[in-house]
Amino acid sequence: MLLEAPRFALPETLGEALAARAERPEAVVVAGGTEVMPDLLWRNRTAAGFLSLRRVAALRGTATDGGELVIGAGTPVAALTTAPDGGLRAAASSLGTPLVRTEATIGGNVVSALPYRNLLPTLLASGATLELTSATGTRVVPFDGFVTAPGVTGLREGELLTAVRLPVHVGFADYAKVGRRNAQFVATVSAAVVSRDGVARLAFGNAGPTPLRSDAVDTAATALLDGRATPADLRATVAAAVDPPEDTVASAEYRRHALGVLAVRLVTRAAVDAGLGS
Amino acid sequence: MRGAKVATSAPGGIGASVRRPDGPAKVRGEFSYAGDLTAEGMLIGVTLRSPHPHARILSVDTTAARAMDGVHAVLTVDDVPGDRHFGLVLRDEPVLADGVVRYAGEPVAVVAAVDAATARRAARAVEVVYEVLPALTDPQLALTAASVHPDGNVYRHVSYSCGDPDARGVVTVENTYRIGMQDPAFLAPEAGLARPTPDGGVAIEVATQWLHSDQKQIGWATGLPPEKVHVSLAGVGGAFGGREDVTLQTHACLLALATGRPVKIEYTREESFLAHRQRHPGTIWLRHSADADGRIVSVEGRVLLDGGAYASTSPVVITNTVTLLQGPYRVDNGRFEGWSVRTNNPSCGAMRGFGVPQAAFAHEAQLDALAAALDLDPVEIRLTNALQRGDVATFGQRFDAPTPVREVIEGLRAVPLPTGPAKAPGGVGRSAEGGTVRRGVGWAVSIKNLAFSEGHVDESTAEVSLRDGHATVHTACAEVGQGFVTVAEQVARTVLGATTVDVVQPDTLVASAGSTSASRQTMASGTAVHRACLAVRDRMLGRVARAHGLDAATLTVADGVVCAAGRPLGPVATAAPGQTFRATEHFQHPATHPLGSPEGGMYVAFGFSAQRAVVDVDVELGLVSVVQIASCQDVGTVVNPTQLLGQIEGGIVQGMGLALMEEVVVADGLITNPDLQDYLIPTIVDAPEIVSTYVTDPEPGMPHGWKGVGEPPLVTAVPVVAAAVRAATGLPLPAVPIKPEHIALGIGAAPTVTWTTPRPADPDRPRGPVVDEEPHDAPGTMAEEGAPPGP
Repeated sequence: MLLEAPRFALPETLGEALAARAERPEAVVVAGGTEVMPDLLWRNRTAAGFLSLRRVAALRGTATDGGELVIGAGTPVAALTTAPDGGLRAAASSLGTPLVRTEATIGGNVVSALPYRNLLPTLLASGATLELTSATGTRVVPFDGFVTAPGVTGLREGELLTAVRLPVHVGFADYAKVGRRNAQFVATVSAAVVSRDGVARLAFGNAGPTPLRSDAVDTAATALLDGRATPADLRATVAAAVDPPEDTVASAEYRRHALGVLAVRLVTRAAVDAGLGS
Repeated sequence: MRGAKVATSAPGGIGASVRRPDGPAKVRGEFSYAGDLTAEGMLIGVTLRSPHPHARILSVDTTAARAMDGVHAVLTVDDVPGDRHFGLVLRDEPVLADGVVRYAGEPVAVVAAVDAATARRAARAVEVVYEVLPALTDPQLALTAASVHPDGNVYRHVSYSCGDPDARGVVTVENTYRIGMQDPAFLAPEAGLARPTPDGGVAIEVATQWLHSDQKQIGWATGLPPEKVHVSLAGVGGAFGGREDVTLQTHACLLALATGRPVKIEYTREESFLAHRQRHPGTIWLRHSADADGRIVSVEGRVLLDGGAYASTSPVVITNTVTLLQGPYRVDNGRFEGWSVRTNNPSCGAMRGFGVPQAAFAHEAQLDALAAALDLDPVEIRLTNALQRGDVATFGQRFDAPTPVREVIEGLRAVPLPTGPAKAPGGVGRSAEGGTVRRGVGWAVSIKNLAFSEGHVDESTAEVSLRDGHATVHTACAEVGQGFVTVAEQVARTVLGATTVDVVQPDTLVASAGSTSASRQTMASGTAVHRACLAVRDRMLGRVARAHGLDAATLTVADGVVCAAGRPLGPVATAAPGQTFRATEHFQHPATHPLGSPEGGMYVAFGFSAQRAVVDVDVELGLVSVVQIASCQDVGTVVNPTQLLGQIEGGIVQGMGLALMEEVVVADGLITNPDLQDYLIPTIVDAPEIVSTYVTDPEPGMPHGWKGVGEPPLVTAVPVVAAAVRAATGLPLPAVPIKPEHIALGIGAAPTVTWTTPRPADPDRPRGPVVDEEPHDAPGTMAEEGAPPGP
C-alpha cells in the first residue's frame, strides 16, 4: 500500500527498495533522517518524494566476510560505537547526541558526503570499500574517490549504497576531531589514522572539499612512526597537502594548523600502541 | 557559609527549598508552553521578513496572497489602525516596515491562514520590491555616517568625570577589549495566541517578561484603550531578557482583530534569532593607573556598543556599562564615556547582565594586567581596592547598604581547589590525547546594579486572599523560570501561616509588576506580596481578636498557628472558618535619578560576586575544559537554597558560554548562524563543577533582607573564565568569545604598560560626577601616555 503512495515509498525488502529507487529517481532517499529532516525543516532542501529505507531489515547489522567487516548501510551509528575498529568506534562515539546516533546510519553519513562528516576520514584511512547495488547487480568500489565534491558521490542512477566493507586488520586505528565545544559539535577539522606493519595511513575531514589523504602525508607519518622524521616534518607535509575552508567558525590558517597537530597526535598514539614510543 | 543559614519560620516558608509547582510537569514533558496553545477555529500567523539589512520598500503587493484559499488576512503597515511605532524606551520601531527596512529579519507583512503551510505560502506570495541601500554595519562609522533613521544614529552618549582623571601612580595599563554578540538562546521560541474579545478588544496569552509593557504597546498599535487589551502569561521556556521587547504580540493581536478569529504565532528557531534582541556587542578601551602597592589612582574608559537597528533598551544599557567600568573597586579619579549607536545590524537590548558583563570582562582583565605589571597577587590587588560601605561611586552614589566585596573574596578563598581528574579539553572529540594540557586558575569579582535605574519606576502590586488556611497570590510578575512562583508561596506560608498556596497565572487584571529582569522580582513583587500578606494577616488577626475578646496587638502567627501573647490559640486554617480576608498592596523602591542628578543615586541596590575558575587548556589546539568554577555571592538572604543554586549554576554556565563559544556572527548585516547547530551553547559535557557559597548580609529595607541574585553569576563568569585561560596560556586574550584560534595562533594584543611619574590628584577638582554632554574625541583613544590603543 505504502509503496503505491505517490510521494512516499516505504519498502521492507532490498528488492522493493531497488524497484522503488528505479521507479522514482527523483525521490530523496532517507534512512535515519537526521540530515534530511532538518534540511526540510530549515528549507535547505525540497523533495519531490521520499524513499525511506527504515524498514529494510536486510540493510542493518554487521558481519565478517573473510578479512572484511561488512556493515549494512542502514546500521545505526549507535551500533558502531562498539565496533572492533578503533577509528570507527571513536568517530561514531563523537557523532551528534545519543538520540542522533540511534537514528543516523552509516549509509547516510557516507552518501551525504559533506567534508566534515564524522565517519568519512576513518573509512578513507582504513581503505574501505562500498557495495553499490542496483536492480542489475552489485558493484564494489573503493571509498577513496567516491566523494567527488561536497554532497556529491559516484552513486549512479538506480543505485543504493547497501554496505560498507572495512578490512579487519591487526593494527591500530583511531580518530579525533576538533570543534568549538566539548560535545555535540560539527568537526571544525578531523583526522583518522590506521597503522599496520609499521606503515601509517592518515585521512582528514574538513581539510578540503572532499575527504582527503595523500601519499606524501602517509610517507611523512610513517617516517615519524619509526623515528626517521620529526613532528614538525609531518606538520609541514600536512600543511602543504590540505586545502581547508575559511568560514566564520575558523580560519583556514587555524584549520591547517589543527590538522597538523591532530596528525602528529594520532601518529604518536599509534607509536605508543605499537610500543615504539611512550 | 555554604548553603542556607536562614531559620525556617514555617514548613515551606522563607529559607526552605520549596519545589516548583511546575517542576514535575516540566520534567515529564507535560508542561504546557506557549507553543502548545490551541483554540477552536484558530488561525496561524506567519511573518514576512526583510532579507536585506537596509532597503527602501518601493512597493508591497498583497493581492495574490489575499486571494489564496484559506488566507484570512494579510496586513502591512497600512493596516495598523493605531500608532505605527513602538519601543521599550524610544518609540522608533515600526510595527511593520514603513517604507524602509533597517535590519535583515524586520517584519514587513503578517499573514493569518487556516494552517501554517497556507500561511507560509501566502507570505511568500506577497510581492515586495526593494531598493537595496548600503548597510551601515560598523558601529564606529555610525557615529559619523548619514543617519539610517530619522532619530539619528546615537541612542545615547554618556560622558562624565570624577575627581582628577589625570592623577597618576607609578604605572598605567591600557587595552582595548571586545565582546561578541550573545543570544539569549532560550529553548522555547516565541509563541502566543491572541483572540478578539466580545467587547471589541483583544486578549493574548504569550510567553513574555513584562505583561503591562506588552499591553501598552499593543494598545498603541491597535488604538485600543488598556482595559480592552488583556495580556496573560503563557508557559515560558526561558527568557534571559530576550522576551522583554515586543515581537509577535502586536502582530498576533492585529491579526485576531482583523479576522475575528483566534490567531496563534509561533516562531521558528531561525525567526527567533532574527526577531528577539541580543546582548550588545561592544568595544571597551580602559586605562588604569595605580600605585606601587596596586591601589587604583585613576581609571579612564570609553565604550562603544552596537545597538543595531532600533533602540530597544540601548539608551539604558550604555549607562550600566559606562558607570560600572570601575568594577567593585574604589575609584576616586576617573573619566568615562560611552555611546550606544544605531546600525543596520540586529537590534540589541536586554540580556541577563544588561551591559555589565561587557564592563566586567574589561575591568577584570585590567586588574589582572595591573597585578602582573606590579608583580602582585591577583587576589591581593582586588582586596586592596575592594569597595566598602560608605565609599562613593564614580557616578556619585554612596554605597550605604552592605558592600561585602572583601567578604565575597575571602569567602571564595576558603573554597579548596579541585583535586580529582577532569574532563579533557576537546571532550568527546578526543583530540587532547597525545598532546599537552595546561591548567590555569583565574579570579574575578563584579558589581551589578539591581532593579531599574535612573528614574525608571520600579514597582509591583500584589493581591492576596486567605480563607481557611488557603492563600491565593495574584501579581503580574512573569514567571520565566526564575522561581517567583515559589518565592510568593514561601512568603504566604511564612507571613500568613497558609497551609496551601495558589500563585495565580499572571495577567493584566492586576497592576503592573514591571519586567522580570534586572534581578528585581524578589525585591519588587516579593516585597509587594509580603506587604499584602501582612495586611491580610492583620485583618484575620483583627477578626480573631474580636471573636475571642482579645487585643489584636497581642496576636501573632507562627508555624501556621495563631498565638495570643505567644501561646497557641489554634491553627490559621480554622481561625476564622469560611471567612475570606483580602488585601492589595503596592511596593515601590525609593526613586532613582539620572546620572549626574544632584537629587540622589542612579541605582536601587548592588550585588557583588566573586568567582574562581580552574580550566584545562590544550594550548596547541586552543581547546578549553572548564574544570571548576567556585562562587561566593552577596545574596542578602537565602530565600530558597535550591533555586538560588539554580540561578548561580545557570548564570555561570551562560557566562562561560559567552567567554568560550556563544556568538551571533553577523556578516554584512546578516546573521550567519541562526540555529543551535551553529550558535553553540554549553552542553552538560562543557559545564564545570560548580561550588557555590554565599555572604548573607541583609539588604536594608527589604523583607528578610533579600536581594536580587540572578545576574551577578553570569557577569562574573565571563571575566573569570577568560582570566583562567590567560593564566593557562600566558596570552592576553582581549576578546570574548575566546576562539580556539585565538589561543592556538596567539591572536590578540597585550595590554600596554607605561611607567609614569606619580602625579597626585588635584584637590581642587570636584569629587564629581561632572557630566559632560559633549563628546571628547574619538572612542578608544585618549593618547596621553603615548600608548596606542589595543588590537
